[in-house]
Amino acid sequence: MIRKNIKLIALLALIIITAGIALCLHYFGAETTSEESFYAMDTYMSVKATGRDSEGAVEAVRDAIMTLDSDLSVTNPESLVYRLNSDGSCVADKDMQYLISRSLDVTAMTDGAFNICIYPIMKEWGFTTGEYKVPDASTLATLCGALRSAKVALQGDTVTLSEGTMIDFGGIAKGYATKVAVDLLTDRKIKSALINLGGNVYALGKKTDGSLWNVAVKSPDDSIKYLGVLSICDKAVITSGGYERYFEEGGVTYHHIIDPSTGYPADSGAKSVTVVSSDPTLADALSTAIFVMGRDKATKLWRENSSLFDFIYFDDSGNLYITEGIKDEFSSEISFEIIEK
Amino acid sequence: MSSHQKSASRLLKNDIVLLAILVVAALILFPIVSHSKKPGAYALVELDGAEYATLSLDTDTTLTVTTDRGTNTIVVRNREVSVESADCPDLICVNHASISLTGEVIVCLPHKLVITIKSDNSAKESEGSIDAVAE
Repeated sequence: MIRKNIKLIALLALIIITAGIALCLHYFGAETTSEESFYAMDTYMSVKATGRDSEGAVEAVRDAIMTLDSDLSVTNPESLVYRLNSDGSCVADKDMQYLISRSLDVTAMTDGAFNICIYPIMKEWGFTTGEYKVPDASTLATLCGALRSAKVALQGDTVTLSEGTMIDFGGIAKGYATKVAVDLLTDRKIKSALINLGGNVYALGKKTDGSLWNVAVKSPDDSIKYLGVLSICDKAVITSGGYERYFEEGGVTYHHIIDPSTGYPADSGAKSVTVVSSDPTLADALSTAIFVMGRDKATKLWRENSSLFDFIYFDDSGNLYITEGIKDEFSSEISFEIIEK
Repeated sequence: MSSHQKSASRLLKNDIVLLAILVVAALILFPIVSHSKKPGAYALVELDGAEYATLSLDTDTTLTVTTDRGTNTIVVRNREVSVESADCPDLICVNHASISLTGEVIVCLPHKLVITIKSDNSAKESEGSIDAVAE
């Protein structure tokens, strides 16, 4: 009888100890890696993080980006952006205030190569809906004229658009969503994470084994697989290329990166532009702007702001250029020229 | 009474020894067993965020995925994965170059289909492989 009891007690004790250790490991001990994948902002996103509460952290990121997506949608009648475009003014929330002030900064910095007021032109081309068409020249000329005089004013928390102006954060939203994700993960003490919002990548900290993250830059043509690989930490890598979204009509290919000065797809000689920066919002906006500006203007911009970003530029003739700041991080199987300060 | 106690404690001791052996054996065997499940790289096929299939890169196969949204035919050939055909409107998945390196992805947005190259060998994963592709 006693023997039986001792055995039973021993067995129970073992079960309790095992379960206790398992629970302790789960809640307090070992760091775990969690990955969350979801669809938002018309693309496939994935966030992988390692830390104490990695699961809670990646779920928080997913929820925040989903909310941001519906708040920034130009087609959702409930969104603040929709209301701003239809009423001409609105009281901006924190996200919108940040997006507008950063957008205006980049517009000034790039001499208008990046402009959130390009929305009516994008709409005319059908890039916002997928119902593509080539607008007639006179329509584009009128819209470009309107764009030149378009004004976005942010006073306190009130945004006011000039008559007929409409905005779209499409060229900066994924960069901002990346920033939101980085802030959330950092707040939750996540020291190692990889954020990939439809090819807009941010490497937070280092990998769990202490090595750098390897982020490849996609090649825009089939001759090679990657333009190269960046070994980085705490940086955003954001690429813009005409190959992302385009259509063909009458044997001509029209891509979605529109030059605000002409109303037509940018024709600066760029085939793919990648911006590397610790500021993902800036990287997103600048990748579009540099694609529009071309190499010479981009080089000048970089020399004036080399502490803020670096870029990788692949042109129509197959030449690859990188700025000096990433020369130690970048490797490629093809030869490239280093743009120096 | 005392003989009872004696045999009980001996049994308990033996039980503990046996348990200890089992725990040690499990600790040693676990990595080996869990490792040998999926040797090397494989392609993970996900539909709308949920795992649908895993395809070993070691065997040439064809997988046709059909949902309400449409059909994609995935092919594994010579350790490379590609989408051979699909009835999605943009055909971005079909036009995508074939993938083979850990971290590479093909996405068919209209069908919410994602193919990712994964590796169970974490040591191999960190060795100069690609973690993400900026595109």
